[in-house]
Parts: sequence; structure tokens; C-alpha cells
Amino acid sequence: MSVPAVDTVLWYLLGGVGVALSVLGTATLALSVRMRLHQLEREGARPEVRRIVLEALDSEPSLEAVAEELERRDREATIEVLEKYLRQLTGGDRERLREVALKLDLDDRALDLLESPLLHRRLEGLNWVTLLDVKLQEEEIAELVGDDAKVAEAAARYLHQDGRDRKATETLLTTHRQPLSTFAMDTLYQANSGDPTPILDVSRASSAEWQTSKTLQVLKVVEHCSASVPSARVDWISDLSSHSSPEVRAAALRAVRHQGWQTVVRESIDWSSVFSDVAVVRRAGYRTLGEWGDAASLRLLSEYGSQETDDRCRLTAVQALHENGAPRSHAENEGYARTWDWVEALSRAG
Amino acid sequence: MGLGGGALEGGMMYGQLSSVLVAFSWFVLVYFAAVNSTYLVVHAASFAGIARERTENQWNPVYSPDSSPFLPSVAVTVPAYDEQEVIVDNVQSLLNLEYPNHEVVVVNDGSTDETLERLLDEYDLERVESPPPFELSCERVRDVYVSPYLDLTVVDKENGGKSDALNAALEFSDSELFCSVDADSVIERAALLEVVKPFLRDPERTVASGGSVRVANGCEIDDGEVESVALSPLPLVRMQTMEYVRAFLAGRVGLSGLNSLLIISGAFGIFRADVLRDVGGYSTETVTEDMEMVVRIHTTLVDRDRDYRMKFIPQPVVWTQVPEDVASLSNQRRRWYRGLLETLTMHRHAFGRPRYGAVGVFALPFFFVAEALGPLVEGLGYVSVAAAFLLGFVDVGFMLLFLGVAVGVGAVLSWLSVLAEVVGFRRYQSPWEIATLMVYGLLENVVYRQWKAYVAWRGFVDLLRGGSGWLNAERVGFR
Repeated sequence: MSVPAVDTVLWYLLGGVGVALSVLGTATLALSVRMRLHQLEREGARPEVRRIVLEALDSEPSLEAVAEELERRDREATIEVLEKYLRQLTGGDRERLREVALKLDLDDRALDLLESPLLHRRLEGLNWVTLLDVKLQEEEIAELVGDDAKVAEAAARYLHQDGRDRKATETLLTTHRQPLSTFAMDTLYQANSGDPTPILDVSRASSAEWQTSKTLQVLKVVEHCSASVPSARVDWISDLSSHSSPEVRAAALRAVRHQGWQTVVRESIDWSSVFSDVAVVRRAGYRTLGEWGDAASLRLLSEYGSQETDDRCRLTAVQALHENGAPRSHAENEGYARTWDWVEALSRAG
Repeated sequence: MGLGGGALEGGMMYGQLSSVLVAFSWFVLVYFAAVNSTYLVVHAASFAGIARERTENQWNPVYSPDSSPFLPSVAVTVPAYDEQEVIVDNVQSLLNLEYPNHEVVVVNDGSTDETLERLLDEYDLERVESPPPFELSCERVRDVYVSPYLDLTVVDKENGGKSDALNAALEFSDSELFCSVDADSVIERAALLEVVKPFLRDPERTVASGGSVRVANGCEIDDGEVESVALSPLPLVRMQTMEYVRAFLAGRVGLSGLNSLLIISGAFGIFRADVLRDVGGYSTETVTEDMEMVVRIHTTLVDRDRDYRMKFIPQPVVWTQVPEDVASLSNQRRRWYRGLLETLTMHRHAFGRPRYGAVGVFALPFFFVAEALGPLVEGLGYVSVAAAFLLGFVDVGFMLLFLGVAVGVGAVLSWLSVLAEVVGFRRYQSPWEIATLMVYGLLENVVYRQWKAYVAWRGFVDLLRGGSGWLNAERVGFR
């Protein structure tokens, strides 16, 4: 290998690097100037658009006048500000802004976006049909959803906003098998918080086909649905007490936390097997009993909590007893007494 | 111009020396080309990652995560050792975070200054008059204080180091997610909700995410909030600003895109608390507990056949104070370098093993070759070129040529990350600041980079000597 070749290689490298630096430096500086100017322009337009939009909430200016004024402003800034307020406002204010948006033909824009080959544009379109309550037929939605889980989640939100809660639930739980995002879980919750019949019915029919992670997510949603339901609708949850995953067994206990008033539900739980299970299940058991909070539950809490060997589980049991105003038990082992001392001291300090 | 034709005439010894130096110069050149090519791939992956992130962020689902019952609870934890200058601002910034479901846990790790007293005075904390009823996997806890009005807990314990303090925080928090923040840092108000996004998008599989760390020196910070962003006037700080931009906007984004994320910064990282407990908490065997934790999570979850995700997202930012003097910076970098070597040594079993996916096959070997060996080889390269020059094997022209290429390639990589800043993030908005960053992208390759190679060698020697000190930096407080 000849020595001068090192020099030659370096010269080539230096030339290449020089060209790269010239192009990169020029592009970076030019872009920074251009983007700064664009930013200043947008920042300048936004307060004016915001003022017009907020004035539109008063009944004074006619909607036509507001739309006309907004049409003369930066369209991107107008869309940005309208979207922000349509998300935040409710009732009459939202309805008035929706009408302004319709006068600006944002509904047509939304329908155009739904036709886009780009996923994020279609998702944006679904956002806008949801915000503007644009009517879509179920066939149109089914065609849109196709195989994409994100589109399914956005479509389910649209269906929920449109009052079609059962369809929203089915879209999330039967169309796609993979785990849900938090957005989808929230949609499921919103669609079922008043009446959890759809989620319970669909789950009873389909839960056997789900992966463990999806079962867990649905149980978490059910846990937050506080409306009462007939015990027959939650029997599939009781069946999960023998599931192979401890997380599912724990979530199943938490899922019935609002159904403790039903004797059938309470009697379906074998507490001795719950409290001989692993820690995560025992903690869920203590929490559920604490939330039921009746005399029988507190007796169970005290009985099993005082025998508890795991520090964290014992703490959960004692916290549940303390929150329910239960008296401190006299038959205390040392760990149980220390836990009570801590919980009481924490309560006094905080 | 060239490597010494005339020197070969100087007898056997000279001839052998010359051959060795030529061979070494080729080795350095090939090494240099291989490492920088890989860095270019990482930079390309970062641009792809930024584009993907921008597309994902363009869709903002029609719901409000902060009012959803499924928003995970977060324990934001601060290990603090002698942080009296910054602790109150830091805690205030954490209490101000726009996140409806978070608690703040500060662990005073045996400070010798007034860190604890300042917290007690500022927040009217009440002492819990009973010892905790659970076994603690950390140094002795002296006292626990809670606020009657805020979600704030202060744990006062014997000194045990940062990992030990984080383990204590893990014991005293009951949130689903565990977020570690350095005491010399200020989180942007919306950053916690941003950094949690990977957990919202994929709640079952995501186990960790991290946000960007940027330089707070020079910014205007008031009451725990960054009021305005600006570059520090100090050249040493500007060098570090350029480094942070490159490390986070190019390095971490690119490595995350290649499923090779090995570091989620301890200054702003968030983990599933049950996963942290499950893998045994933070290791006290290394000084870079953040990197070690990420590598251990990778290897443990792969060993358990668990499907998981770790994500770096550059948009949420924590602003951190960087050292303003050479001695403090040297301490910090020696510690980082030593920690890197410790972590790579601890997880050497995963090197090159396809079972560990991109982490085993690419990330760990890349970190070893580029980040661990890189500064050492670079240091040797400088010494050998200087030796060759003194012995007459090389002329000034060759030296300048070599230096020009090294500086140029380094500048290309830095400028690529400045471009990423311009198109993707825009925390530094004025073209003047961008131009300044670019100048420092060039300047850092002269003297600063050589100094870092020297510091890495010192860190290496520290490790060989078995040094384990914390090597603290001087805190100057937010301005």
C-alpha cells in the first residue's frame, strides 16, 4: 500500500466535506430565515383571528360577517384557532363556532381530507367530521376504517360523538384484535360510562378471542364505568378470576368495584383464594373491599390484612381500613402495628 | 507532501517506526471512516424519525388526555445532593407542570448544605412521626416530610449516591410511571404530558420514554419556568449547547428510530414503575445509572420474551444547567465516560447476540467502538501524528490536511443536527442564534474535541485505578 495514497484519500475527503458544508450551511441558514419569517407572520395573524373568533361567541355579529372577516385572514391560523376552541367549548358556544366553520366550508374540506391517500390527512379529516358533526353513513365509515387501527379509533370517536355508542364499542372491540391506545380506551369509556351494556355484551361475546393485554384494557375501562348493571352482565368478569395472568385476575377484581351492592357479585368472589394469590391480586382485593366499605368488607379487610405478610399489600389493606374510618384492631402483629402507625402519622402530617 | 519518504533512509529503526506509524495512520483513517459513516446513518435515521414524529403529531385525537381516567399517574422524582442553589426553583417547576395526576418526590441524599432546610422553609412541610413500615432497599431514611397542601414528599436519607436516592424515591411513590429529573433542571410546563405520549399511544407495550435535555445557561428562568430561550455568552457553554443539540436531536432520535436507544437521560426519563421494580431498581455499581438501567431493561425483557417499546421523543424539553468552568466539566465528562465503560462491561454478554435484536447486534457494539474506543483512538491518533511530525515522518501540510478532514466531518455532523433543530424543533428561533450554533459546530472540533479525548483518557485511567467518586459539578443557580 503506497504512502501517498493516504494523502489522496484525505484530499478527496476534504473536497467532499467542503461541498457538504457549503450546501448544508446555506440550506440551514436559508431555512432558518424563511421559517422565522413564516413564524412571525403566523404569530402576527393568530391574535387577530382569535379576537374575531371570540367575538363570534357573542350574539352581536352575524355569522356571515364573522366568516367574511375570517376569510380575509390567514387560513391556516383560522383553522388552527377554530380547531382549538371547537375542542374546548361545549353547548351554545361550540354550536356557534361550528356554524362559523361550516360557513367557511370546513366541512367540505373535512370530506376532501377523508379521500386523501395519506393516513394522517384521513385522520385529520375524521377529527374534523367529529368536531363539525358531519353526517357519515356506516358504510362510508366501514370503508374508511379498512385495516387501520388508528383510523378505527378515530372513527369510533366519531361514532360516539354521533350517539352511536354500540357501534363505537363494536368498532374498537371486534374490528381489530390489537391492544388499544389510551385514546381508544377513553372513547370506550365515554361511550359506556352512562350505560355499560354495550361493552359488557360485546366483551362477553368476544373476550375469549382477545390477547391478554386487550382483556386487561377492557377490564380497566369497565372498572371506571360506575353505572349499575344486572349481575348477569358481569358474570364473564367473575370467570376471569381463574385466568392464567395474575394481572387479569387483579383487574377482574377491580372491574367489579362499582357492583359491590349486588349480593350475587359479592358471593361470586372466593376471598380465601384471592388472599392466597400473588401480591398484585391481593392488593386489588384489598382495594376493592375498601371501596365497597360496608361492615362485611371491612371485617374481611381487617382479618386478611392483619395476617398479610407482604409490606405493600399490608399497607394497602390498612390504608383502606383507615380511609373507611375503621377502628384499629387490638390483635396486632408487629408489622401490622407499624403499618397503622405509619398510616395514622401520614394522615396527621398530610 | 506525504508521510515521510525521506525518513525511510534513516536506517532500520526509523524504517520500522515509519511502518508502524503508516499502519496506524491507515487504521485511524479506516476507523474514522467507519465510525463517521455509522454516525451519518444515525443522522439519516434521525431525519426519518423527525419526519415520522411530525406526521404522528399532526394528528391530535379529539379527546383531552388530561381529563381521561386512563392518563397514567406519574411520580416526578428528584435526587438531590447539595443542591441548595437550585432545589426550590426546580421543585417549583415540577409542581407547576401541566399534568393533572402527578406527585413530586424529592430525595435529599445526605446533603451537607441547606438543601433540606430550604425545602422545609419554602413548602411548610410536615414531618411524618413514624418510620416507614416497609423494608427499604436504600441507605437509612432519617425522616419523611409531606406537604399538607401539595402533592410533595421529601425523603431525607443518609448519603448513598444518585442510584440509591432514586431507589428510595421508588419506594415512596405509588404512581404507575416513574420520572427522574435532575435537581439542576427545569422542565417545560407541558413537557410531562408530551413525554408520556408514547405510553398513551401504546400503553401496554411502552416501558420507557425520554425527552430532550437542553442547556439552561443563558435562558431567562423565573419561578421555575423558562421565560425566554437564549444562548449563553460563555464559549464553553456554547460548545456544550452544540453538543446537546447534536446528542439529542440527531443521536437519540436516530438511535430510537433504529431500535437502538441505550440512554434515556437521567435528567428527564420516564419509566413504568413496575418494570423498574421488576428489574431490581437502579444499580449502585455504576456512576451512569440511567444508561445502565435502559440496557438492563432491554436485556431483562428480551430474556423474558416480553414485547416492549422504548421511545425517545425530542419535543418535550428539560432545561439543565451545564458546567461553566473547565474543572466541573472535566469531572462530569470523566464520570460519564467511566460510567459508559462500566455499563458496557456489565452487559458485555449481550454484545453481538441476535437474541437482543438491534441492541445486541448494533447498539452495544456501536457504543463500544464509537463512544468508548472513539476518544481513546482519537487521542492516540493525535499523539501519533504529533510524534510522526516531531520525528520528521510527516510534514505540516499532511497534519493540516488530516485536521481539516477531521474538523470538516465533525462539522458536517453538527450542522446536520442544527438543520434538524431548524426544521423540527425551533427552540432557538433567530437565524443569528442558528448561525452562532453553526460557528460553534466548527469551533468545537478544534481544541475542545481534543480536550475531550484527553478527559476520556483520564476517565479510563480512573476506571483502571478503581475510582468511584461522584465528581460533582459546581452549581450556580438559575438566573
